[in-house]
Amino acid sequence: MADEVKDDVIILWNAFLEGDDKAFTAIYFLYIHQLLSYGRKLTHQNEILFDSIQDVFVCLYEKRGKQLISVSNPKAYLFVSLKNSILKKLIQTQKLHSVETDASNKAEFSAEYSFQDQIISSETSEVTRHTLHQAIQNLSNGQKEIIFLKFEQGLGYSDIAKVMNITVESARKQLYRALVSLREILDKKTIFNFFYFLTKNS
Amino acid sequence: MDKFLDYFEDQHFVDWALNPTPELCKFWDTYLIDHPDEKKEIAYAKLLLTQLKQRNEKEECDVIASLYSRIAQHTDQGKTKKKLFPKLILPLLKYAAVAIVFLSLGILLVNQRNNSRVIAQYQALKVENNETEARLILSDGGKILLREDESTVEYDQEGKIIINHKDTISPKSASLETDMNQLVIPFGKNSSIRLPDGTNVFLNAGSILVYPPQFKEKTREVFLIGEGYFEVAHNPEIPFVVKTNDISILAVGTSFNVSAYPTDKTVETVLVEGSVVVKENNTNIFRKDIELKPGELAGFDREKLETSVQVVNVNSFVAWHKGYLQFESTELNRIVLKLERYYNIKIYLNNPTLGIRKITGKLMLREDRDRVLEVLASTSGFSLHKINETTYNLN
Repeated sequence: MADEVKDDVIILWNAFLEGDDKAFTAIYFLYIHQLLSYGRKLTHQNEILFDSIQDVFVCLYEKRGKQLISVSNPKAYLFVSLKNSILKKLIQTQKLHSVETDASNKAEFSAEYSFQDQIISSETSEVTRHTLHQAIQNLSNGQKEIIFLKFEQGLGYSDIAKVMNITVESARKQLYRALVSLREILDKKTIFNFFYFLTKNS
Repeated sequence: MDKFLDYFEDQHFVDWALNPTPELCKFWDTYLIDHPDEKKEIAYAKLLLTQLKQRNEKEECDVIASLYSRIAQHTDQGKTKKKLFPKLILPLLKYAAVAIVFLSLGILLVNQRNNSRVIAQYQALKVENNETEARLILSDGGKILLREDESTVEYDQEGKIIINHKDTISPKSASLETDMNQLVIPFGKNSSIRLPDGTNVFLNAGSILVYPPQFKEKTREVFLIGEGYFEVAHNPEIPFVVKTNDISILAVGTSFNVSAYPTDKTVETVLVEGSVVVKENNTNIFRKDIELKPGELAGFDREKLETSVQVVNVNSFVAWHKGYLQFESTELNRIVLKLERYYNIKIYLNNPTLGIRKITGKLMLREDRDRVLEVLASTSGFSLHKINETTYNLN
């Protein structure tokens, strides 16, 4: 499933390692949207984000030939590189403005969720929507990051673990805990007619 | 509760909730009718997924373009350009990059989810633009030029590679499972290869075959772009799978032809003997696989995403691997395309309606190219003009 990496991405990656510049360009265009999307969750500062993306690709280009970068999933590799690069830059800027530094020197994952109005039928009570939205916003940053990587980026647990520097077990557990907690809110609060919801959206 | 979590591990389910397609909707609607007891859990899971989706941010093209030009200037490519161009011209590079982006956006970003198409386009670009020499690229990065117009590659029992029946190469043993060899045949050349399992593959002009140095898995998998004729070594335990961008062909021990050029509208599989199963890669999840009988052609339409089966004269589809073309009331367009690929030439028709004229006959490809084209022209009532070494005109 999501854990499998497309063989052809590997072909592209290997072509790049063999010195094909067109493959390098193709890799850039293949992943740039996803990298920007992920990067924006880690920092709101465009300056840092763009510099980091530049560093990731320039560094990748320069590493070729010097050391063999054999990776099981290029996407996960790029995500890890981007996260590390952003983290490093955030620490640097914090050192410069040491006065306003707060204790955390981690790149905090922040995601903004908006109501997906069209999905919830009008019969959903305002209270339920509010509670659910609140609960989602209150998930830990880690849980939000796992949800983003798994559902929106389609990464498998082993890649998520690498990107977040946690164990596979922990990634899975954190996700399940989040889902189960949200599920319970629905059970308690929901009075909307899910049959109606289903027919309306099919 | 476990069942509830299972939905989130099912990629089909996640896709349905986040990026529904008509096929996915149809599938899950059917599923719901068959499993009414799961209705509540499915509704909850789907609702949660949609609420967990991020606000969509659309990245501006110019952000992506200017980032790309920044990267290009910092990589070696960019550095050499810097030396070549005086400082004033440098800012223009940015616009060049923007142009590249719009070109690439067209090719590469049509569908971000469909990675394999991106790669096929890229590979097609490579076959067309790169050197004119057929070559074997080993998993360790070594490149072997095959030099002959009709080259051969054979694996012997000990894993050594014999090129053109004379040169022997002992490749370094591959360490990674993902390591792959590539046989790249440009237009105007063709080749045959005997794979480590004894399967013979004839590769037509403008094709790439990607295969592992050894078949260690439960299936023998190769990836094909272009056209290949396969004679699969019999081994019922380890099925042979030819993957293309759009379809996969599963065989045990049989002969068949696959034509999957990135620029063609249909991907054609023609079975000569034995049996094969043709699978569509990622279209309709509940469409049945197609089992072909000898003499049948399965044509996968890339636009309609549908496969249709018809009975054909097999020889006209596979004769190329024996060095000739045979056709029975075949459109001139199709013949011209085949000849253009085989000889790496361009043939222009004075009048487009000539292209739909039906032609029957046989062409010996290995004879002198001018003579072959002359035969085609005279037997079908056209006149041939040679414009230069690689360009011809028919009217």
